[in-house]
Amino acid sequence: MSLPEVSMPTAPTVTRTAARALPRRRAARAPLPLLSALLVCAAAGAPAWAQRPCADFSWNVQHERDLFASQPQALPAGSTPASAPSIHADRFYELQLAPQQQVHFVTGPGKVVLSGGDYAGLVKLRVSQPGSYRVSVDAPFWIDMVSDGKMLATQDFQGQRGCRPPRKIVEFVLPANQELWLQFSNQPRTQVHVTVTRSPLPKS
Amino acid sequence: MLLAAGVAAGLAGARPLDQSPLGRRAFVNSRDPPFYIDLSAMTAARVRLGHAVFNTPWEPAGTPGAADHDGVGPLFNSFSCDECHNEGADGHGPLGDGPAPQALVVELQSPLGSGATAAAAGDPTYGHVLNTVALPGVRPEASVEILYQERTGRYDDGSAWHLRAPHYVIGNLGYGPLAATTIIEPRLAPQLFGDGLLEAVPEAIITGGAHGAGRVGDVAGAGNAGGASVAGGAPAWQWLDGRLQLGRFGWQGVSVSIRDQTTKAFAREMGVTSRERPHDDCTVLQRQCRSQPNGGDPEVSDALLDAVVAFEQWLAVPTVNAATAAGPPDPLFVQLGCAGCHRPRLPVRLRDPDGRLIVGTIAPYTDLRLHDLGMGLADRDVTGQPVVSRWRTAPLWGLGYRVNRERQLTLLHDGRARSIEEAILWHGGEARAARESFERLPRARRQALLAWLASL
Repeated sequence: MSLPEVSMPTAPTVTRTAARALPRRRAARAPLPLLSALLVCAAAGAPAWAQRPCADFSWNVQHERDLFASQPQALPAGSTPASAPSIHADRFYELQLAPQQQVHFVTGPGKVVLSGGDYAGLVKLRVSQPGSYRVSVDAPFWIDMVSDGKMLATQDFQGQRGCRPPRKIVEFVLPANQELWLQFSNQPRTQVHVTVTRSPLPKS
Repeated sequence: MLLAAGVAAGLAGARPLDQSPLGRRAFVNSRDPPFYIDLSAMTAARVRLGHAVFNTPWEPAGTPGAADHDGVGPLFNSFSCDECHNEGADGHGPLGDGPAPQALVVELQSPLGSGATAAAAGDPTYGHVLNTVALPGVRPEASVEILYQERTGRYDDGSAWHLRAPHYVIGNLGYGPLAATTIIEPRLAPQLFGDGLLEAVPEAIITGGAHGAGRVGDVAGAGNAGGASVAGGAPAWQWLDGRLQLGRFGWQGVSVSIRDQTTKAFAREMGVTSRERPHDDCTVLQRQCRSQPNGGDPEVSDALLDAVVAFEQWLAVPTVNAATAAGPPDPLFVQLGCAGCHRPRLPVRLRDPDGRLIVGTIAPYTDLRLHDLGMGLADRDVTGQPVVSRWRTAPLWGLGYRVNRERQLTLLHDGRARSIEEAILWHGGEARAARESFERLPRARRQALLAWLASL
């Protein structure tokens, strides 16, 4: 048996609808093409992804979106471990941050960037059940989860632009009933909106 | 043979590092990728700075507190190197139907005539890259979506194989039509590991001397000279600064050095200018783009550019199986003919940070030459016509790291292959015979070969 040496349907389809730049504070991303303008070979009807409200997250993030649509609890994030407030899962927070050079992290941060103009902060967290949890934020802050003085490895992450918040979600596997530290860093924004939620099983 | 002897003579007297292939290290922390050589204090400081530059999201021109990293856009694809080349690794490719992921960039090229004496031009309106993100007040260039057509079949032994063929939908063109002859080139961000060592392979080893030298636009014939690839192909000659230079980086070897590749990416994918590339990807037809404020001239300083190049230059290649990394190639890999292009060993000659000459061997599994892999992988122009496409043999070192790290593999230039097996099955053209030999193997032997590849 040999695979046929045929040309695969890789011909790009170029449509000519007018672009609409979405007004964004930082940047605009070209919107998804209008359904009527899509030239799709062999598909009967619009592809499923074109009908989702936001096509960029492949996970089901409805729970996180619902939280982000609610009224946040305003809290000042800590600039030292001792001053860090506690947050809880399944709640929505607006954290006020401090200039990053004034923040003393538990360790790290895990990603080093050119300094100047960035803000950061710390909060504490405990979860009652071990497992996978999502930390969702409305801006591309770097997120560290620290347990027992060590950074936890990221299990998975996704980001999107041009859709409703959240903007970035990072998943960690968390132990139960232990003091954990969430560190936010490396963004020139004075506040961050955040939720911590249990990752759905199976991931969707 | 004479050429190989000449190269060997040139290497005589240099200080060999050791007999094991260079460049491999175990990656304990993916956020802190190691280097393959001990760095002096000064070099380590420059590399740390380079790592920070690599990670830093660039800001719009004039952002307070960002004087040394402002000027992103106004048309671009990502804010930072790290967004696509996460910690030096390959970009995340498409998982299925939907918008092209950030790390998959659509490059554009005007056809290069034979005997060309200038670098390839991009699309007359859109430049070299379709920029899908824009700063406020500027129209993005386009959106890119991908639809896949699944194909299945069976080997002679009855086992099933699966492939997915991409169909690109380019919509919302913001500045009018693409030129009909523009070639659409989807390109997934490759890994940067080991690039400094690939840069150190002597040119004669890649070109193979007169028989394999070729010229831009030539289709290389088969042949072997002076220890070069026995499977033919052609060196990736590129016009740069008014002369032909040997390309080594990029899916089609379009970049001649790490610095060349980096400044291109800064300019075309981030809209950040450098002294070597003082223009971003806005064309003269994109007046709105060209009238936007910039972040200085150039936007990335020589010091920061030197630092990020240094970071890339010394990056090690992750090792998951030390025995495989240092050992000989699998005999089946050689027997099938894969090693003809995916060369198990290449010599290197470089200077360490203290200026001492190092002579050694690397095990990259590439010949750094261009090969026609058939029409199934060929790029298309805007009208859908396939364009003969030659691909720089992808280095296979570091595959094991990807297998362990990624939830779903996305291999080949556009991430279409979801496994090493699928990547092999896409090989046609010059590699068709090797692919067919793989297909004829009993299942157990195919699996054994795949397992070995997944440990590289």
